[in-house]
Amino acid sequence: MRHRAPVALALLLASGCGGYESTVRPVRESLERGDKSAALRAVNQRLGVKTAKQRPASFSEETALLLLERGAILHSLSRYADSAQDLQEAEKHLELLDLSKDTAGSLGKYLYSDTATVYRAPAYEKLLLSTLNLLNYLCLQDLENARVEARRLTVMQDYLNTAMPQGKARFGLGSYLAGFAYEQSGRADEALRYYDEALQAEEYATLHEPVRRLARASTFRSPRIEKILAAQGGEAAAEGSDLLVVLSAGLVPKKEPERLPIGLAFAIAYDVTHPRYRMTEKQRRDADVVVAKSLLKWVNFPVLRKRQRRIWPVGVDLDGKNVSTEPAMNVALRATEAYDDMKGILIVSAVTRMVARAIAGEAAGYGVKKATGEGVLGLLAGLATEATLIAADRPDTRSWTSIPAEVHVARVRVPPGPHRIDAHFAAAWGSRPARAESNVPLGYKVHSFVETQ
Amino acid sequence: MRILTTATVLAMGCGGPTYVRDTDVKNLDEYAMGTGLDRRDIDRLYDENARSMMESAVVGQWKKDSPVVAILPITNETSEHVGPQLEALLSKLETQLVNGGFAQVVSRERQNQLIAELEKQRGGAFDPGSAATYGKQLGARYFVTGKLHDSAERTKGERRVQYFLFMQVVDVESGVIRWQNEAKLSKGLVQ
Repeated sequence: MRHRAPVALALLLASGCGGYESTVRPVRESLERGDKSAALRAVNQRLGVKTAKQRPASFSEETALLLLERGAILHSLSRYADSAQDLQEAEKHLELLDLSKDTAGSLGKYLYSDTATVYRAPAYEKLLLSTLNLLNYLCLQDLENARVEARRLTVMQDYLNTAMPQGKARFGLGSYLAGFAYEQSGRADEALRYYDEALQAEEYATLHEPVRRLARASTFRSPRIEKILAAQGGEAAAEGSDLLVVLSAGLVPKKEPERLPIGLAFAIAYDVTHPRYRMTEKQRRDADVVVAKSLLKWVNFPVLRKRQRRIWPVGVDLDGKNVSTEPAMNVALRATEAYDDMKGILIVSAVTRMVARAIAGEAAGYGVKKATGEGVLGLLAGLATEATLIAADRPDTRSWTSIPAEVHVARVRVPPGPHRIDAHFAAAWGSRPARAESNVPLGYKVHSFVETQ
Repeated sequence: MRILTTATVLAMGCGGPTYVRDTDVKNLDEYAMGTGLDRRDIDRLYDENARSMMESAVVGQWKKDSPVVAILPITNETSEHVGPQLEALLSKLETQLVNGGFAQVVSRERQNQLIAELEKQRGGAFDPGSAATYGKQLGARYFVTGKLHDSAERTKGERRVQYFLFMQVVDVESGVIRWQNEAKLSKGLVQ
């Protein structure tokens, strides 16, 4: 018994709990192996259901995130209707969390654990949700619901434009697909407006020909549209249907718990100048005392684990002939930027949590020592208090982890009828082709290829 | 009834969610569970439009002529996925027209097949501008159709969707609108 207490304490101290990251790890590992079916089984298991058609019986924050994961996995398996269902359900719950006040959680974040707060999805996840659902409906040839998602994207962007710095709410791929949905609905004005938004975000060469075509039926103009119309040598549009091929590859970086040396953590925390999140003078004084007494060695912190680019899209062949592709969205970069924006704030909350913990431990030890006169008991009581708080401290590793790192598009006009599409991905271990036999109707057809390694 | 309610309460008291029916839980249909359209909203939008339509001059004429009428889809121009709810609204209208003996209503199953065929030819888009063509192909003298719009806004702590449902009766031959009405309601997520 005498030896058990220190061992238990050491175990408690050593066991850094991964939170959401450990929940979703088997799902992510399956995707990293390229085994999407295994990823689907793993996420169903975590949701407590047997098939992807089933919804979980009860909802927690993790459930909403797991539904997002399942929605992305189902899309990669070409199960677009099921994917759309999951994404809509998840969005409803995430919106409820997003609009909740969560005063207790905000307090808990500073005293107890990052995961004490409700999950508020970063802007890029909110925008990607509508974008992925837009793609689902386009793949299903369902223009009415695709336009609904386009409008949802606009509502979200309008809101984010009021809450974020200029330009942060731009989401080129979403606007591109929204414009495509309106173009195929025969609504040139709205299509051009969305394409103009897309062109503000990225230089999409594949939009030049559609813009020239749509401009003949619309009076909408902008400097970007005018520039395309003024350029010479644009190829005349071939007659036929629009074929849009979307290639998604890799996985976004994920958050993992890490223990950061206290000196480095404090250096970053002191650097945060945001008026709402910077440390107060008292918090700094407490922190200095804690460091001077060597009460703390590290802080628990969620780091963004960047992955090496293992697979990427290189091209599309249509009926054996090469069609040029272009980058449509670097999701990994958006995830990294979102993390970098929050990094200082996360450090401040981690540091203030650790300071609160150290002071609680010190107070408990002092109390026991005073009551019993036993210095060893006081030390153990202090350690036990701190160990309990450390064990409960879970850095916030919540994020949507099953989404691609990068997305490319290819776009071409083809005669309606059967066509063979070969999507090529380059990988560290060689090339990986994916093929689809497509019967393109009059109007349009959208194909989505996803490689997740 | 009391036993059922007690059973429900006991089951709910065990911690997990429980499936219930409207006869078990009072006011189950009363509160909103989202910013989409629920049965109460559909009833409200329908009642307002149906009352106006039944009192219109064109439907007064139908009572004498009993013309062939087609009911075409209501276009969803909102930011909410309410397609199935709009289908339910049209089915209510169909029921009232058929059972009231006001008109000979083209089977919506046949209509949907024709529209699906035309949509397929057009690449998957129902074109409200071609409604007269759809009506002619269905052998109808009039068609009923509509559009649902919204004004959706979000702030840091709240979200609001204001719905506007416009319905109309159009003379297939002349393209003249013989009746039109607007019904509106709002849904929100507020603190």
